[in-house]
Amino acid sequence: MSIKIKPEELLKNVTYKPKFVNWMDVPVEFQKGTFNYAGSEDALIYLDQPNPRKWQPTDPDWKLPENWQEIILEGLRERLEKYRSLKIFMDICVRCGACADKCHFFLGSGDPKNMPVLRAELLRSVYRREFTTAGKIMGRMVGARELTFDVLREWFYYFYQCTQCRRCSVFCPYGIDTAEITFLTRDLMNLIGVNIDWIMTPVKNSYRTGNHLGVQPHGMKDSLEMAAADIEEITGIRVEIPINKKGAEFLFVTPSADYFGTPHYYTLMGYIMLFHEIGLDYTFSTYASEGGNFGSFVSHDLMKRLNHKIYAEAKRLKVKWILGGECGHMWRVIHQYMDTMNGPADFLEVPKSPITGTVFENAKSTKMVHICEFTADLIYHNKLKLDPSRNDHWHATFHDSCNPSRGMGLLEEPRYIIKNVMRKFTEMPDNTIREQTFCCGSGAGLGTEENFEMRMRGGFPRANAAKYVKDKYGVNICLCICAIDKANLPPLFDFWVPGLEVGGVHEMVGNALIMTGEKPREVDLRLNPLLKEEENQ
Amino acid sequence: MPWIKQNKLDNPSSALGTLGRMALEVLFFRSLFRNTKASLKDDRLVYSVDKWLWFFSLAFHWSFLIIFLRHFRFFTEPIPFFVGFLQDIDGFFQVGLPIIYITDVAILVALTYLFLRRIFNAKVRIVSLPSDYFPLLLILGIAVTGVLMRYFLKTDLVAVKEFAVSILSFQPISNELLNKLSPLFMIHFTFVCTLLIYFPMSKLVHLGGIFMSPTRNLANNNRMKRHINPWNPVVAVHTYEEYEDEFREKMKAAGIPVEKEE
Repeated sequence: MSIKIKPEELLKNVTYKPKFVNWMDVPVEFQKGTFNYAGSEDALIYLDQPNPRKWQPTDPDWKLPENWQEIILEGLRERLEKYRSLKIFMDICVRCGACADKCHFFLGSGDPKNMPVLRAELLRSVYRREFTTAGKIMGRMVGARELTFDVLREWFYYFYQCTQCRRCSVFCPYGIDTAEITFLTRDLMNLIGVNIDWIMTPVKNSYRTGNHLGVQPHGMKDSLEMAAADIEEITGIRVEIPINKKGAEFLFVTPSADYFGTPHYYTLMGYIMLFHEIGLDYTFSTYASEGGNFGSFVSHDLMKRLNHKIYAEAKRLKVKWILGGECGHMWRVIHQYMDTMNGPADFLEVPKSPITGTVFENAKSTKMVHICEFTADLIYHNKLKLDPSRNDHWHATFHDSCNPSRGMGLLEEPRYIIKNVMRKFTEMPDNTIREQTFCCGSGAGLGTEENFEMRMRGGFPRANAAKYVKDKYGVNICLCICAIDKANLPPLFDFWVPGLEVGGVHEMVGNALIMTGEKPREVDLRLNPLLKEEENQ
Repeated sequence: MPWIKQNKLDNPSSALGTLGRMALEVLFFRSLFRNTKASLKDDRLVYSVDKWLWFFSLAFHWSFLIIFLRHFRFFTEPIPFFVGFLQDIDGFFQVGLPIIYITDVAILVALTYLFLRRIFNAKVRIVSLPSDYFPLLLILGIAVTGVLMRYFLKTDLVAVKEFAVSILSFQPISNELLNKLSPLFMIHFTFVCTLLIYFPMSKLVHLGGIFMSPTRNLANNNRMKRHINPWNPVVAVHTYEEYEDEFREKMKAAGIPVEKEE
């Protein structure tokens, strides 16, 4: 990990009063630590994507096809027809500036091109030049410019400095969704082979092996068995973990980081303990072993190609419905696109909790339920025996991950669970949570080592709010329901707020869950000793 | 779930909730009301409430609408019922003679604020284009000439009405009538015509666009109801069979069930 930069230095030159220049005249510079490496040749070949080659963004020659401008403009024309949102967002902005200081990348870098309005203008300026009469005639007077190589470099730099978190759209009087603009501009760049490796390689891996880390079926099984062994050590109970089991009641899909990442892994143990305790008939799948969808960061087609596996596997295994784990953009895809892209899921039944009998009407078409909805329902109906004092060594706060909160409106369920499984919980300040939550700074494929500085900058507003509750109330763990958060918040907090841990909601469920026949618990899922009665005030 | 409190306005699952969200947005600029201002103090980010933009843009838009409606008295006969009503409300305080309309003051102040904001707010200045200043100045010009005519340099209102009615009914206008109209009125009138011509091909179409924004006018019911995409593309997929063919031996060795043994 790069420790060269120090937190105090990072903010030194940040100002929210940018100098007045014509932004079109400011060239983009690729500084170390602020951009991502280019998509690898073999990933592009495997996925049959345009223009596979070896290149890097710092190269003077990007080895683009000769008619690259034509390809992009033609692509833009096609997308303007397909996406009403794009067409409206191109025309409707009045540049009121309400979004300007809402973006975490602007707040962390002070770079005016990270103001959502200007980020969108990067594309809008080309749109005006090519598709509006005023732009064709008046040029720069009306903010129009030609698509040149420099513009493309700027697109690459700044559209890969947006995590598609959509915080700006909450404040926009027209609801302009920058995520949509970023998504489509990345899609356009992908037409000429301009993309980043931490998206394209995970897409290739997910396509081939089912999960973005490229772990093969036996590796996944090993990992699940390790979780079973750890659970046995902590609770004394041996759990069975069904894999690719036909005829199970439901299929469980979770981001693959849950099997291999830390602290994701503790959340995985939490799920498995919960399923075992209430005797659910479920199955994991090695083929659809990834809920996360890196394709969704860059292209509609790639997103659909990856997402296809979930319904296909549900059909093959003849399950009745699907349950999804704690993940961010996975839920954006499932919530907003899956049914439309790969549905209708008429071979499944409307999800019904086998324990409480609750029918999940909110998922009656998609047939896929969020684990937090499922668990909150169990707790509400008193179906779980819980001992919240086992989490007394933790004082938690909850980070709303962008996609479940703004993307699907899942705000109350995780909080309801947390308040029932632990006793110490404090919210971060109001304008940094719920709909106004700040991104971890590394979503949408930007979580790479080479992009470290920009990630720390982008995550600064989130870390700043977390530091506030840590210093003021003694919060020592930040809970979240997103795998990318769980991967990126730890280095972010190490940088800005040392001593603050990161965990998942179901890890806390696992700690508090009283299992039938378990031995007295001495440690939590991380093997931290639990507080004894007398230590507990 | 029924026991979880749903935010029916921000996150509506029904058409009624969506309509409510749209109405609040269109009539009261609800998103702008949320506006905050971020600043860095000793490496700490602090946020303060910032409602000025909301206040003045709302003041401007409502004033503009009311003034527009009040103008119906100049080109319709009989004068619609709402005009008198609006005039009464607008001149509620009965200050000065002729009575000063609140909206006249409000529109001038609000436009000045919006214009100065574009110049003095560094973030907004950098994104502002000539096409942002132009309509502001144009409407300011209309408002200033209008206010001058009402309160200071009186114009022949009967002639104005005759003129407006003839234009709207496509009747020729006599020289005599033209001579009665003051130059100030002609400037006012020219600005208004410019605005009407400029309107449909400029950023001013945000008037219509606000009704079309998909992030505000669609209900959040995607998991409840299937939405059809007319161009849903056919894409290449990696099937389970291909997957099992590649990993079959490893799956068997690990004891994972397979479809085919060979």
